[in-house]
Amino acid sequence: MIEASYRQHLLALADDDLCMGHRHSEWLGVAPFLEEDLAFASIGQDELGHARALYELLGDDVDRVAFGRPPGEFRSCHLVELPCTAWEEALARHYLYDLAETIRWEALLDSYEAAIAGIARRALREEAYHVAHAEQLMHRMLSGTEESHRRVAAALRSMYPTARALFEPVTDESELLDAGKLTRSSAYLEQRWIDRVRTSLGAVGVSLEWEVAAAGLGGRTGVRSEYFSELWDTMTAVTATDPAASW
Amino acid sequence: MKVYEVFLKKAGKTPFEHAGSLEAPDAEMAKLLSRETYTRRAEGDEMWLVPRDAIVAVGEDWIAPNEDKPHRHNDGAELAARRRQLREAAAETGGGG
Repeated sequence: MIEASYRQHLLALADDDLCMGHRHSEWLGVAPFLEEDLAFASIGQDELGHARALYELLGDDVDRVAFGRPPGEFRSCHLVELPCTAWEEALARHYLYDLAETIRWEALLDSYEAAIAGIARRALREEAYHVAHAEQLMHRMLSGTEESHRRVAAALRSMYPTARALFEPVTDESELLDAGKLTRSSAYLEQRWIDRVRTSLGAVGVSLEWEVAAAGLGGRTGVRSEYFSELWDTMTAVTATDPAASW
Repeated sequence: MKVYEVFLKKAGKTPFEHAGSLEAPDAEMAKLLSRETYTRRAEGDEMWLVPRDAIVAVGEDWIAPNEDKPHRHNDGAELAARRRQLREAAAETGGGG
């Protein structure tokens, strides 16, 4: 039985993956070249699969858990809600997000719920490709032409404060830690992520100002960004037309 | 950019087969981009990525003179029929075989 506070923690990851998968899918058919189109769509599909696996665990009706909650009950971070209509923005987000997601799944490998540890193991097999894809493209762009460097570095700089809010804790995190239900705090995971991104970008001579305090965005406690309602309307368009439709 | 020819092979005693091609600046990128383009539905268990310029292409002008030599197309059917006939004849006469 998954208690309410741990449920919030898992919803944060599941809701992120649902929104991220949807946002990635918006590049279907319009990514910069064919192979990337397929790769990006596949990655988005993987993220939807991760969301689904967690939703299945959290309720017997996946569609109701995914699309039947009011937006205020979503626990997604604001990063995944951004439209990212320029390719360099989508790439920067993919990179920052998947490096973080890997660290978050790794922290679930020793979950007290065996089913969650199982989902984490499976997800990590897919994340290895996501990270290889994101990191390799990122490095190529940053060490490519003057223009590719400028555009991608600018996208990273504009996005990383929002990305950082990915590690805002859910409401009852301290209780979960005290009870031993969570073994690592979001602050600890955030630091691991910063170290990982710093090392990765350092290899191509890019540094971000991590000293600046993270902005409190509140995604994990139910505050939705200005972009959520458009995203929500699109994601729930089918359910709105046919409430019995299933994922 | 270079063109890489993609070959896929299923597990077991099956040969590599040509699946298509893709453009990539180098081998690492070819590896990265070929995965979802050619194996997202598990079409193969092994993949070869061969730079097109590593392929020695040989055309019709060189091969065509071999087209009209039916005597080289022995499919073994005639020989098999003759062996069967001899076996049957041997069985009828009760001879060893």
